[in-house]
Amino acid sequence: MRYGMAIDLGQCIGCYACVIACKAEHGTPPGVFWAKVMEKEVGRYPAASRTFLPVLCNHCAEPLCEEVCPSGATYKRKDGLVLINQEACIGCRACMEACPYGARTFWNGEGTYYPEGATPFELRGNGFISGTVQKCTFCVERLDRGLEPACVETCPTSCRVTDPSVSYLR
Amino acid sequence: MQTVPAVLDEFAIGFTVQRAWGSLVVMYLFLGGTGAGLFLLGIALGTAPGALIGLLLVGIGGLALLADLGRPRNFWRAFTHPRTSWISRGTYFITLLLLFGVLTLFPRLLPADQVPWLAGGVLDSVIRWLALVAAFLVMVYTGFVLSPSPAIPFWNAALLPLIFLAYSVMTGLGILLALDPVLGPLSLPLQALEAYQVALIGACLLLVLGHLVIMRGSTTAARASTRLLIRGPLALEFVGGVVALGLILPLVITLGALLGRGATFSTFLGVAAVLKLAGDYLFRSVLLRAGLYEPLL
Ligand code: SF4
Repeated sequence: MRYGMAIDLGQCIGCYACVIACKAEHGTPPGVFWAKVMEKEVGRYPAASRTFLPVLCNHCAEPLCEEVCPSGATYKRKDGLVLINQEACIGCRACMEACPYGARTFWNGEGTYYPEGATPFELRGNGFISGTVQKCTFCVERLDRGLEPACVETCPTSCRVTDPSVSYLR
Repeated sequence: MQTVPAVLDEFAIGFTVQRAWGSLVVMYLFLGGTGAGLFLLGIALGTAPGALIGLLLVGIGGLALLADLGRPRNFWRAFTHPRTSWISRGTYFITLLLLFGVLTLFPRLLPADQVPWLAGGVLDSVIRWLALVAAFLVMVYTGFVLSPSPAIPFWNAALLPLIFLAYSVMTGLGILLALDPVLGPLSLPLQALEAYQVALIGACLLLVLGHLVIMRGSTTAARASTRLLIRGPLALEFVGGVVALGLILPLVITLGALLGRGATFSTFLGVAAVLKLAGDYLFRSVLLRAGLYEPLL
């Protein structure tokens, strides 16, 4: 079996719920976003509109990030998930240069969410090692519990699907 | 007050410049390439002190690379994936160059009774060849480090390793020509070396311009990168620094030295070498700063 996710771009309303759900689920450090929504204005008034593009790690079939990684920190599992072993990452950032989707972010351990300093939640560390590269894990720990990724669960228009019974994911 | 780093690029649409690699990587690309070129030519032309300077430059460049890592103490892990990763392969190349480079220099710089093998012996020639091959690989592999992914089309080019090679040999030879009065006689006549130097500068010029021409006909991000270099914010550094001062002026000076030999020309060759070095550094720097990702939206 190989995990996959489809996003119906026509359904995306640009509410950023997935961005926040991902943050809430993983407690990613400031400046690190595993799920993003890009936004662009198209057309001219009065026919102007906005289009949205939700972006996350595509867990590519042949991931270039894995190929260029000198430490083996980036690896691909049999079920298709591309993951980073933070312990092994040396922080060379070659994977960021190789990723065409801007899915990866380097975290140097700096910054807090509030100017007063780190909150107890941030101080807990949430398992992030500074000096490493971060990216979407497809909520691997939720999958292990039989749940869907947080962004999929939270999407109000249900434009994200991972259900393998959906024909185009098979 | 602490501030939250706003990674605005994360959500930016259109062209975004890569920011993952900055000045320390430029420093390494420059020192590693030039140092390896200087070492190779120093050994080939029989000047051990010149080769030693080259090796020192490679060593300093390696330290810059180490300092650039997010977790430098983990660096040994970079040895584990040479099968697919050019950075991993490069880690071997640098290590082999430093190791065999030092061993090559032992019998050439130390008194004969302190080194158990002789310069020119069988063991020495094996070591020397290994060092020379490693030096060659250090000059070219960085081109492959930049080029494997189509994410940044301006780097995704077959010419890049060749450009790096040409630049490294050119600056290496430039330093040797400039230091000739200090380092002592080289094993080839100066005139021949100056002719080679003219050819090398010409080759760099053609390769760099050729790369731009190819990129102009390539994807949108590659075209945007060339615009940055030719008309955009990097134009002064690229056109003025890399091309005019870094290549054309040294070409004229070296041609002058070749055609009208005279004592005054060693000073000019020194000036040319400095210009070429600055041009080489600037080239690698603008190349990294012109690295634009293909836009998603
Ligand atoms: S930054 Fe880490 S995960 Fe990315 S290529 Fe380097 S070692 Fe691998």
